[in-house]
Amino acid sequence: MSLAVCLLAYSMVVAVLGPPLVLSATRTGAAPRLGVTVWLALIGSVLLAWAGGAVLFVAQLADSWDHLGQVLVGCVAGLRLIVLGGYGRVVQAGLLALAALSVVALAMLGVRVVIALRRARRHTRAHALTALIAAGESPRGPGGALVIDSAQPAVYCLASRPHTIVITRAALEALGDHQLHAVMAHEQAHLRGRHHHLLAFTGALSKILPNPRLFTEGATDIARLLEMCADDAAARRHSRDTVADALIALTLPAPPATPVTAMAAAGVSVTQRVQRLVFPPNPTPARLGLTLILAGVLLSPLLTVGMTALAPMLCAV
Amino acid sequence: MSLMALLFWSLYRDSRLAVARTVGKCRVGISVRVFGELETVVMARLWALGDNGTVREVLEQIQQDREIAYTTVLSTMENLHRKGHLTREREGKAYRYHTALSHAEHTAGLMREALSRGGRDTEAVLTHFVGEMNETELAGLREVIRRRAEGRADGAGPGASPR
Repeated sequence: MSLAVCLLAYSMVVAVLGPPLVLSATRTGAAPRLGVTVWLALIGSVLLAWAGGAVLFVAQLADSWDHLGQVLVGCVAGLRLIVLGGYGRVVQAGLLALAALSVVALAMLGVRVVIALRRARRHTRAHALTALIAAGESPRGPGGALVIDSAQPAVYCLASRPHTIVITRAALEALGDHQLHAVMAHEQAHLRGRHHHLLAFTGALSKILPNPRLFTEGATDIARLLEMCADDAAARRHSRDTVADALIALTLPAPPATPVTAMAAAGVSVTQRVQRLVFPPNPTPARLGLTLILAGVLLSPLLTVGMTALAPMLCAV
Repeated sequence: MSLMALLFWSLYRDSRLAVARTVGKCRVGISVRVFGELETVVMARLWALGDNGTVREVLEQIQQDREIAYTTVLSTMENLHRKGHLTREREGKAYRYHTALSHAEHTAGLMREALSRGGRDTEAVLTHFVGEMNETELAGLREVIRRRAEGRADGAGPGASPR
């Protein structure tokens, strides 16, 4: 019983303490790939802790149904008196309801995530078809991109079968040859790295579970860091300056076109991306901080298990 | 024994049908079917025809360029109708299909879905090269560009200059 409680406590600590720590370590975008890994470790460990806690809870409850009093003694000493004092059935019923509720809640979470992912896939496919139809029979752009006749500069990619990169006429006009290749390398890095799977998963999770903030903040920051990963991939093939120039050309197009401005939602910050491409930050502090967080997240459950195995009372007090 | 034979025969027939179905899905005339390719062609021809047409009219248009079966065009247009890209009304024994939007409206709709609020209005998973920016972010970007230009003017070269 105490192990289940410990797992729950662990997940709460990770969900509360994790996000601010990771956010401060990933702020400069010095080690984006490691940043994504740490976020995923945080999210994954919370989900696993929930699942593990529920399984342990149910298993121990089933295992010790007849001598519940002795099990509870380790965990919550006060409850023992209630159990022995004739309220045993009430407590048993309460625990049973709690176990059932936690299992149902987790199952529902899983089902809702799957439904959201399927919806996202359907919408992505529908959008890809709409884009194909809009591009019509006009010739493909560089890298097989769909060229849309629009005055708004935009480049984006869609992961459907087959993968689709969409570029507007305005974006084609705003970009020089080298910049265009850098942009294509960026989008292809997204597709090759299967970033859409991560984005779809974290996006679905953050919509279904806006609390704890771990999921929403994680989804936003992962999106930002994945852009930086793709920038780095493009910069390796072309140059940091070319990628920065492409970002600037699409964000601040030469007049008379207007810059892409002012919608309430926080887009992935272009300013930060240009900043880190032009003035690369020192990756060492970010790597160190992220590695420490990762170690903490991964090692503390092991320590907890070890401690509970050695001294059950430690955790139960 | 005959029961077994019947069973085998039906299995064999099913597999043949499945293959035929797959082939039918994958092949159009002589070219291999690509996702959205036929839909794109049909919509383009309909817009060229003045935003409406019957299956027969679209078929005749496409047949000027390549071989294609009536049923292929028919099922493509029914698909497009089901997906909301076409509306239709009866005309004699056949349907006359109308494009739900003009080409310009369709493109505008696509851009709206893709761009508004960084693609958050759609549940499609899009990764944009650049997202929307507010005035503060734009001011920050101009500041970075200015410092970069200074770094270059100092002869330190791009990327070498500290902040």
